[in-house]
Amino acid sequence: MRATREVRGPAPPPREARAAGARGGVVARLVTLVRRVTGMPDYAAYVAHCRAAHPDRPVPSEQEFFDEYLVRRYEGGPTRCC
Amino acid sequence: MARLGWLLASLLGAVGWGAIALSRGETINAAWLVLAAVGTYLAGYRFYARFIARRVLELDDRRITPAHRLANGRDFVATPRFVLFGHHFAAIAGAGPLVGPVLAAQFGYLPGTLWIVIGVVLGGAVQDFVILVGSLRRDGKSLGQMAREEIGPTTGMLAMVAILAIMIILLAVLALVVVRALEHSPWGVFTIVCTIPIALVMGFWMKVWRPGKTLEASLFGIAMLMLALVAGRWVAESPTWGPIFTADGVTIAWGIIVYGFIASVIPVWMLLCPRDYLSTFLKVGTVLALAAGILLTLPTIQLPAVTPFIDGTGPVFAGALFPFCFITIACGAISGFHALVASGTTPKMLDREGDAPAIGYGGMLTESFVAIMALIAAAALDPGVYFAMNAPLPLLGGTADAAIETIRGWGFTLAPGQMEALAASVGESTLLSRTGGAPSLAVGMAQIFSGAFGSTLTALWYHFAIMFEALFILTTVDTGTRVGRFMFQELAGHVVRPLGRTSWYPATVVASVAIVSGWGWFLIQGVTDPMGGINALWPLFGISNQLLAAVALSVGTTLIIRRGKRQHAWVTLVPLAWLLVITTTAAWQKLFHADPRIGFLSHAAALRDGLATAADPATTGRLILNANINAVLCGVFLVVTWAVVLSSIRVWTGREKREESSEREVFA
Repeated sequence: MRATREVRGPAPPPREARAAGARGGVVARLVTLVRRVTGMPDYAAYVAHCRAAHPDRPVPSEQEFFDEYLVRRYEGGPTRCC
Repeated sequence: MARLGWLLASLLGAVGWGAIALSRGETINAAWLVLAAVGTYLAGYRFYARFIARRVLELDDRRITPAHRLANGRDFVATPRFVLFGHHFAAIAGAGPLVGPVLAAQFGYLPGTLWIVIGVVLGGAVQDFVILVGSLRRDGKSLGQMAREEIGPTTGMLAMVAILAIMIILLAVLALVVVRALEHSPWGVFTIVCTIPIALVMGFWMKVWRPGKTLEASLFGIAMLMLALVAGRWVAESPTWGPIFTADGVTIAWGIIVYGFIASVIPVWMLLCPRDYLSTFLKVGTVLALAAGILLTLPTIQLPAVTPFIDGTGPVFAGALFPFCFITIACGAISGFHALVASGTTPKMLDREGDAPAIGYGGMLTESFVAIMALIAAAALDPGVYFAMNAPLPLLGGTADAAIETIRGWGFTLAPGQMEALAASVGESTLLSRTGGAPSLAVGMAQIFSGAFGSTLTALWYHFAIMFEALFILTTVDTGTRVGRFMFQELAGHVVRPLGRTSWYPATVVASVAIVSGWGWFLIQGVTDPMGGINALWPLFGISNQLLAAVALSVGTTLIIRRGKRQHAWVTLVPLAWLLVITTTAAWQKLFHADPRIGFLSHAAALRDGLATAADPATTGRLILNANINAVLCGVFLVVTWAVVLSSIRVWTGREKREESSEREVFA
């Protein structure tokens, strides 16, 4: 549903250019789908983000990324419902 | 053309309702229920959600969402709409929408269906949608943070206390459902025990051996789980292993309590995270399979539209249709707990504002459909079997033969040997009085699956359904204990400062003991209750969840008024008013009703009167204490919620002057 088609002004950038995970072959997209739905960490997306946003800094290893993910996911509010 | 399609969908819904209305007194096919529900969902989504999106929340794709503005490649990640829909649905769907409708089936299939469908379109989906957008425009803030900032610090604190209390009762009731499903079932116990070593191996796999490789570890885990499920039959039938895995309710309850404590104090990667993945895979897979099974078999609904038990004399739980139907079915119609998830990970992943209706409103509609499927699975059972499985044993008369007489007295039939044959066909020793909803749902699902995918595997389907329910309930217990621990530490940190330090191990242990003994206490109370426990504790859980929804809707109304849409505040005020009516009535009846089956206080009084002549004074004394504690908890829920609502009203009426929007407006 396009809830906002009446809004005037510059159109937002196209969807594909915005949403991470909407790229790649069928298998890559399927893997991204499974990761996002189950809440698994996505190291490839993180590396892509780091290269684009902070090209000057070293990219953390998958181990470091995973350790940090565990803290972030389970030390906040509820991520699951009844 | 598209508009015509939506109108057609709405019309099909009307046809479904018409068929239900006209077929009173005879059996009806589940297809009509599915049609009525889906047609109403589509109409609600196309017309009502769009109205809210355009006129009330004014969604605008030019506003940059936090997923882009705060992109960090970790939790703030813009995600395609359909993928995020799956993520959100997997996070909100749980055991709640599966158990509640099964219990409420004692009123017949019609009251539950009406409440699930109407409640979600006007209440539950609106709540999730409004809170999602509220959080989206506040950089993904949580419900508690929004309550604190939009209404006031005291309200924020009260909301947190309410969330913690609800968490405790929720974990206890869900654990009780698992205990009732696994009692004297070696097959079920074996499968669930196996998940612990499987999760440990997965944990070492993705943390130590191949860091970060969660997907391959999960695929291995699922394969092992299926192996354990198949091996369960062999274990149950083995004369040596069968008795080892046969346990009574109290033993299983203590097992869950000890497990819950250990899972809360060891690192998350060992048990919690792997089981979280396993249960999500199973959950999504099973929901899809159940939908396919129902659509393929289209079972006939055996239960009457309305049973005589709407007057409050029902055996499954006490209390009349109003208000207890609306309390028993919380998740599926409206669930306050969703507000916590809708203000959690999802708003940080939304690509555009225009995606919010599909995810917030649409995700909840899908959960509602899960509740309808659970209702169909229960209502497709022979009514005699349904009541034999869900009534407490003392009410049934204690034995299989007495149960046949009792059920005849209720106006249903049960053939001699029918329960025994059914139990044998699903590989259980007995199905008499297996309360808690999970076994009934598993029998219903097994019948649907065997009808759709072949009948030779009935026992395997039953145990698959039990494993799936038990696994994700236990995952809720793990994660809930941990979340409760952090909330306890945050609250306790205000009183005793060192307790607030989450990295200090003794504080972790103290907080874990506090949370686990909280829900453990209610769990043991339920397991040792002669009436089975579900009938006392499930209404308490329903009341608490609906009261949390009232808190969420108060926050939602505040957000709408503060963005200058006072004239549209009825969108959240109408469901809020309805929730306050049903929860206050239900809580009042649970406290003060003269019938000792309903009122906690009159139950305590009746027990006290009988104490002098009681066969076992110690047990009676314990039951009196239980009833009194339940009454206190019920009173606390009521007071906290009304305090939140009243302080919100002060903000709405301008007693506290501020109507400027607190939303972040960042445009492209």
